[in-house]
Amino acid sequence: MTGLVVGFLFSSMNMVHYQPFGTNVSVENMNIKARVVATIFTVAVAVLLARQSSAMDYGGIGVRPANPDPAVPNSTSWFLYSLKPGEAKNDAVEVENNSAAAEDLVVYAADSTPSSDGGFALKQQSEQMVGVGSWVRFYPDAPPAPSTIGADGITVLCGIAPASADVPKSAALTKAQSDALATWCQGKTLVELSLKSMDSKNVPIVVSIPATADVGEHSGGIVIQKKAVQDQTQQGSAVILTTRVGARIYETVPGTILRSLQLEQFTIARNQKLPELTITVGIRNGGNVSVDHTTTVEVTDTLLHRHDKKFVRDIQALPGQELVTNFATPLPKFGRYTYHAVVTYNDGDLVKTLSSAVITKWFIPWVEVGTGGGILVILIAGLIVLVRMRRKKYSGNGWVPYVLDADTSIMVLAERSGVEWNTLARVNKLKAPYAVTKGQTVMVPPGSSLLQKKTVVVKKKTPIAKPKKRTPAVTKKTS
Amino acid sequence: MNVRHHLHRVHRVATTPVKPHHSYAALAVVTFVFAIALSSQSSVVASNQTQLVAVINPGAVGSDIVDANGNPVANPSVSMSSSPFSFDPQVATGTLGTPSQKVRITNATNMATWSLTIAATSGNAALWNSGSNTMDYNDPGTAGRLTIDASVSTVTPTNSYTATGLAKGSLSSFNQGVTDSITLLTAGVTADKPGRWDVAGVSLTQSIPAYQAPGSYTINMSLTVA
Repeated sequence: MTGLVVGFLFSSMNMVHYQPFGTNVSVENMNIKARVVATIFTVAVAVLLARQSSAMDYGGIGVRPANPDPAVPNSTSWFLYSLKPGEAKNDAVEVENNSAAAEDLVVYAADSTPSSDGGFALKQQSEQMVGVGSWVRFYPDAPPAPSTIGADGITVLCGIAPASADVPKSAALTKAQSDALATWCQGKTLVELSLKSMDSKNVPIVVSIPATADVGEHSGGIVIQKKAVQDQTQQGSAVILTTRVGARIYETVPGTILRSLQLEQFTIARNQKLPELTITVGIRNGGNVSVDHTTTVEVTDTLLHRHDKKFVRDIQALPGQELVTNFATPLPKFGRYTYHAVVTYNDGDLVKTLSSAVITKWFIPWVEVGTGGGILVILIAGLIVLVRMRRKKYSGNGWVPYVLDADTSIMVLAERSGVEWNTLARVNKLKAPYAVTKGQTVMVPPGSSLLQKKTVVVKKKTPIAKPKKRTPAVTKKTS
Repeated sequence: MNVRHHLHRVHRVATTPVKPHHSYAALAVVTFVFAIALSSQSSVVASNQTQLVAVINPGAVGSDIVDANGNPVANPSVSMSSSPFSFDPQVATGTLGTPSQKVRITNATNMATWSLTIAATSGNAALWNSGSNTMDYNDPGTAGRLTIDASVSTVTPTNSYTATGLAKGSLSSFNQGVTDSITLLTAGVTADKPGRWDVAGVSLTQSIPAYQAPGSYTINMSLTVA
């Protein structure tokens, strides 16, 4: 909106500034039109961008490392440490409120916990922390006077780590001051913050690695969430939702690092609610660090001899966990498909590959096949009935022989027999030009008027003369 | 998204007179540039080269429940279907992520990897509560169990982002001490960064034990993106 207003004012101002002297009326009119066009253009652009801007500004609450190390990839998003057992590190977490309203937040550290698929999740605040979540302390307030946080940070001030040689010793403290500092140095496991809209705050932390920490990776995170507000308006049974955001912590205690993945599961199953197939790949990380790996699933249509689909996913498996990854693909309509999974990961300079068995599946659209088959059966049945009806119609059952006493035409004969000429012709197997001659025996319906005059039963059929023309021959009327 | 624009000098527009029909093109360009700068809530300064400098710092990953207009929902919840008292076990169902309560994930970091999980806020000892009556949400036996199926959900990228690299979770049930957290969505390294997605249609099914006392049961659950 600001852009809109300023854009309009600015355009108007420029109009005046650039207006040349002595401009005639037509040019002035053109200027007015141009001004209107420019203003509409500006308004449209400003409205469009203002909408995008308001959408982009909103990002909810967020948390990230306040002191990322440019030399450490991903340290802008995650806390990545390689501290030895017994070591401690000064750091800070940046808590952001990018939403449109002020927020009351709680900040705490949590252990990681495997999720349903073996992926990364974080424990709840109410749960007991025994790993990384218990190694982090927060120091949101300044230390009690006269103590200050020096260049070596909280770890030195609180005696968690030895001071550098060039840092002067702090002045002697009274017992009260010393006690206050000792209390402060314990830090906090949970911090409550109130942040205005689009505000952020850095909270100093100390990460202390226990002397007994095992070699390998330990993970957790620093979590922020909105303070719970009890909703009194909820009616009926419901799941009350809260959202949390975490910045992961990965601490790798130096030592013998083992990276080892096993491909333990590869299945294809039909989704019960969607017309999809779910391809599941389960990988166990038997090492002591997280392993980034690439899972590739190739789907091949063996009837058409073509690669139907290829799924590639780069994902992380936590140490000691089985990671289950699902791929969704539309259910094939018809065909014979094969599925094959390959997992690759780096173990140092080595690229290791795990390959699954090939799964083959037929897909037959039974509903469509059944429907089409049903229609086909009905058509065939109808055809059979039709053929039988035609056969019955032209069989001449019940008809009687009649010997012609004069040459005639099939049209006349049909008229006197009370049937269609072509029926008469088919029953008697007459071919074009359908000539009938004196002495010839033809089958006629029993009610034919011909029979009222004369009925002759002939034991043996007389050959019918081969006609010369294809049109019904008219010779002479029979009496 | 945390977008911060810094402008170092005051923008100065060329003051050389130009012909009218040129002036309007120039003014359109100038106003366009100003509209971009100001609508992004940036501070704009001029340089002799008329150069805008925009520094966009990476932000954080975030999640929220938003309504159809993208505004945060004050008290988000998933309503479960009502069930009459029964001497037999039965189920109640609900849907996490509706048009009026979408799960929105924003990743403003320069890292693509994140995961969205759901777990009981009070940990694996949590219960459905209705006054003094309770019911389990994570008992593999008959005392009540919540099953979540994220495979039937829909993930809608907003703006011009894509769903590349995102993997929906599979059908899973809570199981105390074994499955305390369920994955709804995972982003691999090929996912968009930054990016923003709305998740809807996650199926919730709670098995209700036989003879469960009537009442309106609630349980607090946390959606975590990390």
